[in-house]
Amino acid sequence: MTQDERAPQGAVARIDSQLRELPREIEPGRDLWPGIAARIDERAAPAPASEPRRSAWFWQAAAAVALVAASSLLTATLLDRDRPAGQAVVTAAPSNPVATSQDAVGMPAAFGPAGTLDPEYLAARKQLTQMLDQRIATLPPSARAKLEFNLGEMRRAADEINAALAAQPGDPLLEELLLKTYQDELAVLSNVSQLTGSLENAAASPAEKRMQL
Amino acid sequence: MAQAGEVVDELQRAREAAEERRLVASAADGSSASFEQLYRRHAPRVYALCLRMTGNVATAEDCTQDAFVQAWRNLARFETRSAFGTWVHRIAVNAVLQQGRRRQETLGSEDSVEREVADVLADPATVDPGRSRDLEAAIAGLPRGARHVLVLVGVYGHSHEEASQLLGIAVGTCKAQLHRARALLGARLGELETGHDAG
Amino acid sequence: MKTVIAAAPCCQPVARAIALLAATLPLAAFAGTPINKLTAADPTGTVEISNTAGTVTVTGWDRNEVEVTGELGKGTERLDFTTADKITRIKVVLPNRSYNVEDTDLIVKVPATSLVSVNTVSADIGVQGVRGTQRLQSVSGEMRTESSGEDIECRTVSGDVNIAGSGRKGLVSITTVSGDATATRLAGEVNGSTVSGNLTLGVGETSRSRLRSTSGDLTLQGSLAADARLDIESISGDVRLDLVGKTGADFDVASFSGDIRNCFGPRPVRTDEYAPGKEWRHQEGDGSARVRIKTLSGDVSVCRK
Repeated sequence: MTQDERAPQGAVARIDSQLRELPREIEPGRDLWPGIAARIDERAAPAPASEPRRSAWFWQAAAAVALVAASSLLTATLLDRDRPAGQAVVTAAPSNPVATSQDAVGMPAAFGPAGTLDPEYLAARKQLTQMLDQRIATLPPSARAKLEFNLGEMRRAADEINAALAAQPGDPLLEELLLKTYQDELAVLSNVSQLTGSLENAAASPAEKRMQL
Repeated sequence: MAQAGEVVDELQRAREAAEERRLVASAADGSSASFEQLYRRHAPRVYALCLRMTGNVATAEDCTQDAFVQAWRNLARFETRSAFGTWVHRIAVNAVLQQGRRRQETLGSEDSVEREVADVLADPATVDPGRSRDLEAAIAGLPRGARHVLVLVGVYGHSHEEASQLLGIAVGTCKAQLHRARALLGARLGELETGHDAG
Repeated sequence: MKTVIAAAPCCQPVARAIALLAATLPLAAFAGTPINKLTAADPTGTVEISNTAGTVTVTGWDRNEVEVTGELGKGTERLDFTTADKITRIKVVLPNRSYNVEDTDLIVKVPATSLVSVNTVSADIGVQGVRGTQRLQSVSGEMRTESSGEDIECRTVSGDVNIAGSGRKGLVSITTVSGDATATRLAGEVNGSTVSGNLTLGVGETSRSRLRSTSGDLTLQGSLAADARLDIESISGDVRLDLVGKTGADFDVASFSGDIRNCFGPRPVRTDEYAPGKEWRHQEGDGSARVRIKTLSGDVSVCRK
């Protein structure tokens, strides 16, 4: 690495012209469409209500898929952040007026005063939390209590930020922190899922393990 | 007075734009076949952007897929007066920044990764394929911040304002990074030109 | 631990003999079952260990073998010890109804370059001398380990984490819900995420660091690499950044209602005259590193030694 950060003028011009000549399009080495198609079609399969117990690996993979779906939906809500201040980040669904309504698990469904979160994100998150409720129930009581307390902390944080957003709609710092809180909640649910998933594999007796397959 | 050739070009562009709006509307209605068409048109550019910004083939493939998946999920929010390609481009930059949390990106300066990327990017049709390979390898070897700015500004022609907004950094930082990237590239390419066989 | 022996009158002499035996043998014989297992292992293989309650102590050595000693708690169903395809698995298996099972202590020696993966519920985990990748998970057990430059991932709900670094660059990820984490002399990429735990991380030099908290405090002490990227977010936890050495960095610090205290650069300014919210943007040196800190109500302090 050079100490002197200033390149001579002629060299800069040469580099610039070489850069401009580089191809701006490259065909990927393999067809990436099938991977994309699989992910955009994943929600077509209905979530089974009750079914024979699947292997721990299946739940982990399913939770991971739901997590990716929910996570990317979350991030996508802030993609068009250059809207003028005061305008909602997320378009309010016409049938949903101003709301800080709570879904079944407790996190507010609002994103700021005039917007609600993408209903697809909420559905994916609900699926994830239902899958994880069983897992969380297997934790020792003290750990479960701590987990629930901490999830409550995150819910309170989201409420606090939403309240602040009511007074300062569109504030970028608040929006970013709110997004972070929703993302962190998903991350906590996912991490606990992985933790308990590994433990399931560990604690199973042989009879149980046969059932898992 | 417009030349006949220009008029034809403009008509062609207008037809293509209308066709693209039709595809976007159809995809927003749920047609994955239409979305696949959009993918086929824009993937090479998205992939090239991801590859240059990440310096890693596997990560670039993931970013490309992530970008299109996110685009699909947000089609309802896309306003058709702007170009789909520009919109996907922006999503792709975000996908790269998200992927940047993973370890692969921090290996961007390893020699083996640079060679892999350079081989993919080198265009055998250029006059001096060896030189193009060296430049691609040099870009892949830049530190991440400098590389991101260089790709957006130097290769894709964004202004500093646009690039800094896409990357979420201050304009001053963007300019400093570009400066640094050019200096590092100059030094690296200069070393190569002073005679060793890069093979 | 008392051993009570009752016997029918016909067996009293036997019972008396057993009682005498109980008095003379070491207590351990009536507690758990000693463990003594050994197998050959690939030096770049994987060792997976799981235990529920008790302790797991892992030490790296230079033999191409995995050895397990220690004591299996009374009431444990068995210890599984298997090896296949370069993976050695050590699993404490509990019966289905495990309310009356005692702790198991596992003492495991592994080839120093193994990939080590440990899972426990409340068992404490201690690792030393391992130079391969480490994945340590526990619900409430405490974790102590050393970093040698390979990846370390620690995941826990309420256990505390303690990592002694070596200054060699690697990837360290710490995830807790309420557990605290302390680390010294880390280098390279350091990621920490907690809800209400306190993270106190000392870095030799970090190239990339992402710290997240809801209400726990985040403290990062150390120096930044030339192109470092630091991204710290907290809701109500306080954030403290103590920098060492020459720092060329672009600072972007904002807090909605917390205080920002900086030891260099200009004073923080209000973001908006009609709203709370302060920010501090400052370029120090060549500004090549990037530091972003955002909080809702947590206080922020950025200082330099």
